[in-house]
Amino acid sequence: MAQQTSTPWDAYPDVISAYGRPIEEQLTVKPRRMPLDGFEDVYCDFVDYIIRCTHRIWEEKGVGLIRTHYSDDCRVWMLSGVSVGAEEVIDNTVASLAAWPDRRPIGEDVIWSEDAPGEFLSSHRIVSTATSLGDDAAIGAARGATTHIMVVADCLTARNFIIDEYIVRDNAQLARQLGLDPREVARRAAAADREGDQSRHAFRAEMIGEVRGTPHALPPQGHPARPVADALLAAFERQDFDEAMTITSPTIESYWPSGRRGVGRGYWIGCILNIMAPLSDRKFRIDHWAARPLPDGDIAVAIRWFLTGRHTRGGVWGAPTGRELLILAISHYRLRGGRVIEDISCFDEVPVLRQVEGGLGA
Amino acid sequence: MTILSNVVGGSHRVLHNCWLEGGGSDAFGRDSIEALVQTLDLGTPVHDLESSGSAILVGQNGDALFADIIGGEVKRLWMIAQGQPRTRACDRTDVPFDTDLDQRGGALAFDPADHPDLAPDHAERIREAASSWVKPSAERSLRSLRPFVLRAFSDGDTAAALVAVYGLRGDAIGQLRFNVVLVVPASGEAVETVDRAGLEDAFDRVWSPSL
Repeated sequence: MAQQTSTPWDAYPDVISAYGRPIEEQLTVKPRRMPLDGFEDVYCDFVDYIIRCTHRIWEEKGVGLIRTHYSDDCRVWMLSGVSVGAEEVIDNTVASLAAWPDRRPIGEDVIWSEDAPGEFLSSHRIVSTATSLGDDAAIGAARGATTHIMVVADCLTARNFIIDEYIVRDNAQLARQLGLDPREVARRAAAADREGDQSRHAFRAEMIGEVRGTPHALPPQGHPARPVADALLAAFERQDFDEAMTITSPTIESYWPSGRRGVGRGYWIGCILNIMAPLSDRKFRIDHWAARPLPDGDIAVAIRWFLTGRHTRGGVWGAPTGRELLILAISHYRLRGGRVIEDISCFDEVPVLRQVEGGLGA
Repeated sequence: MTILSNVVGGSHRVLHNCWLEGGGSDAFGRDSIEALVQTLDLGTPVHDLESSGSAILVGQNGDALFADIIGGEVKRLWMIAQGQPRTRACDRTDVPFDTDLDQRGGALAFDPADHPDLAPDHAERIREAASSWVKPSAERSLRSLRPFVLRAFSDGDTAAALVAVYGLRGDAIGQLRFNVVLVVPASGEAVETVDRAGLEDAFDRVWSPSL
């Protein structure tokens, strides 16, 4: 079903971006400045809700607040698995804090939309800093290193409750910062995936089915996200990279996961080729979009997208395996004068490698 | 006092979510970045320029900082350092790419429209100075150098720019990148400062196009 938008992307000009604002100012409690039916009084606007509840839960250790901020049937989607319900969110948060006690989810931006009256979608870009001081289920024994990785969390929220959340974390870069080989981490996880009840991986096939069977959620003409979405379709669906590039500045900066970073249109296309080339019978799908004004007249656009295809060629993920792979990604674009000057895209490449290695039911 | 000179002097903190790159380093957050800044030799700067969105500070010995400023706060920093890398930058997956997109040869990538703080009549100065990097380099067998003007701004009669330069290695497999800052006065020669520590770090890396 196509995404609906009830509120213009630039409504509520007083609800300013988190981008470039000191955290001391952001966490100062302020009077309510937009309608938020059913939300706690402490939140002055939806950006504040996202920044402040994250701070309260993770830094102030108010983990029990999850019960009043996640619905009983909320689903949290990651490429490595899906959790259901607030209690599972609590258990995962407790486990994470036991291994990474000083975790700081430092917000960079919150790009949001009101998709139906009172129903908000946030795309929250975070740099997650943390020190590995306890044993971790995925990483193993404590490593001692302090890490910083990109995370983006898309939350569908109504009346103070997160109903649906998609999380992408740059876990390959996390592994590297801990002195580990991302492929080895993925190989171990894949071996564990092949044990036991395989129905726990059914979500992945369901997601692939949805990607292959559901039309794009395309922004309407005139929305700032539309030309970006069109450029992605030109690149991923039609391989019209020349057409796609026209939306970008000649010096576009790209920050992609696993340390991919570079400058220029050629580099931006290089990133897309990098993940497209190993796959055949590809299907690309735009799942959600949002936009908000930034300081100094720039515009922030968020697009959540999926790419699936059969791993039939060598390349960035090694020798072809014939397995069907799925990528869940969230991209944040910075537009100036109608062109993209920055692309910060995040996806978790460890579960991609885990699929390559025969895990997650692949 | 400019924002950057206050950062160097310790009287103004960078944003809590500030990023730093260059100088062979990656850093995030106030404490890590401010510790790195203190390793630079920026006393008695030879250039200390700023606009509402950018700033540059160049020390006498070729260490420098280039900054993105938002509302008077420092959001991003590029470190230009001499000598050895201060810390080792994170490992990364290298992406092979076409710098030119054209068989007629490489050109400077620069659109003044991307740089609202650059006075229109300064754009040609930046173009001329940055274009000098479209050249073969005797620098350790680098070839096909291609400059990209990442940031440019004006402060009075002086223009400044941050330029990312890509090149193909002649001594090993791979593309590499380093940064150069330019200060271009109204009259006289452009002053170029190369991030030598960043270049050292780039040469130390093994090309890694797979994960």
